[in-house]
Amino acid sequence: MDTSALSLSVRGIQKRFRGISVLDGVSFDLQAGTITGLIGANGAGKSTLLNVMTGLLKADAGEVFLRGAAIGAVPTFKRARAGLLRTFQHPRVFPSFSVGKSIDLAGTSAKAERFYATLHSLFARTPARAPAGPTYTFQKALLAKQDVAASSLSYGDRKLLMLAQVLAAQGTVFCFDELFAGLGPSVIDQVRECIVEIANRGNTVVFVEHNLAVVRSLATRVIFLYQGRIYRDGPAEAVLTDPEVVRLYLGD
Amino acid sequence: MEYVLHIATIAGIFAILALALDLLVGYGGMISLAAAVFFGIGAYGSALLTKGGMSPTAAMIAGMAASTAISMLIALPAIRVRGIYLLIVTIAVQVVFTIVLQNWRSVTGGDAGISNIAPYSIFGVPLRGPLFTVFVWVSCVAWWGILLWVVRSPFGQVLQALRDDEIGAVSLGKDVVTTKLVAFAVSSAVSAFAGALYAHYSTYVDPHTFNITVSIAVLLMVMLGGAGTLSGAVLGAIVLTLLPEVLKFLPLPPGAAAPLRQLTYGALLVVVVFLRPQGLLGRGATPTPGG
Repeated sequence: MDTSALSLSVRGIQKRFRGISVLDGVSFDLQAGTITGLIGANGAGKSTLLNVMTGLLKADAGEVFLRGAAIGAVPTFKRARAGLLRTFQHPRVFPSFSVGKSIDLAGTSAKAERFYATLHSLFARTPARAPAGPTYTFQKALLAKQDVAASSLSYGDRKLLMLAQVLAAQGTVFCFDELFAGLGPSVIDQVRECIVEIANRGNTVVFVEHNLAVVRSLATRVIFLYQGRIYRDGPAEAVLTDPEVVRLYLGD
Repeated sequence: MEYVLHIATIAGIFAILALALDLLVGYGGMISLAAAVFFGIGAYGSALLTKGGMSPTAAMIAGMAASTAISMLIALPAIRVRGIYLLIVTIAVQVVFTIVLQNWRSVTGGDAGISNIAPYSIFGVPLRGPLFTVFVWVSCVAWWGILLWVVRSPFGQVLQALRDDEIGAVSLGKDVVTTKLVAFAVSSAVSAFAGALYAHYSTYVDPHTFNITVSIAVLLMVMLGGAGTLSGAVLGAIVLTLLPEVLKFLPLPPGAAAPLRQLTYGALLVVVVFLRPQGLLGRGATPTPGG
């Protein structure tokens, strides 16, 4: 099958931990410019799937394609440079970095980070890259805290910092792992608006989320994972109102 | 006066060594007890090559190149492990290095070492006495400035990011392996520079000067001053070079002097570690090894 027209594809992903099957033949394609919600109970394999997609875990079988190219053997940092970015369920920030430095770090090009670029800059001052101006209210709020240490941010602010970092890193496929958990209602609206904007610019978004109201308002397509398999995959409303999904996900 | 100059020279050489190790330990979160290995390669390399007829500067540069090359052989497998495991690997490397120095007699002179090493000279003008002390401290300040530039550069920022959170760094497209390797290479080259200065200063090298005790002392200098602050590395080197000397002046009964000095030395370190675990000049929490 021709996967080059697609933004991201996963084919027959299998992953076992100590003999227990966590992902069992997961396949789907994501089109550019779409927002897909990934739902499922705890342990359904959602985070494992994101880890396989971004290369933090190696699949036992199956392949991941980024714009048609097989990337199963490509290390995580090269996938990120190719535009496949993610945030983490448990916020990962760089504790010794300030908010401003964290965002600068994310936005610095791979070329500028090479050591010879450092040596070169010892002798010839290269103009610093102008940082992209803040677009969203949460970014402006973060910028007001740019000298604050990332380690002293609140849980919610750490999540926003991760989002600001992946925005600065300029990807094309964004995976958000429970980004909305722990955020206040007004911030949820801003982040939702931000994600819609990301997709409107032609990027691909896939997000793991337990808050079904957020899923309903954001996703056009929902994939329901159940015990490591795709149980339902379709238009958001159809999947979310499917009686089987409701029964398996929400319980009786 | 000679005594003061001697202490100042030794402090300067160890300050360069501590600066080099701080890049690895403080900024890269890679705890190493192999500082004396690269210090030793620089010293033996420069000693052997000047004896072979090379000018000290050329010999020093060759020693730095050899140290960098050997560090890559060690780092390629070593950086796959983190934290305590990396520490164990570096201890093993250090122990093997000492055994090689002691037993490869045809090259290293074994336990007897190499003596009558020519003093350091620039364009044939030997640097002796105060002139050499000044040279040591000028080069220390130069390395300090260069390393300050390096840690503030985008490369240095990535190094600190992977110390903080390696998974977070790779997820943002940061090349962890190359960054660690380059940090190892730079650190080894600067350590070898210090080693060459030492060889030409003392005119004599033996395995004893480059064993694990020295590696521990250099790591202590970095930790005491504050890992991740270059000024801390320099301060740590000065304090830990001066401390044993100052303690010599304590009015102690002759037999008790040596052990009591050791005790005071150890007690002071314990106090600092408990009261200021981040080091004298460190800010905030100490970075976790390996992040």
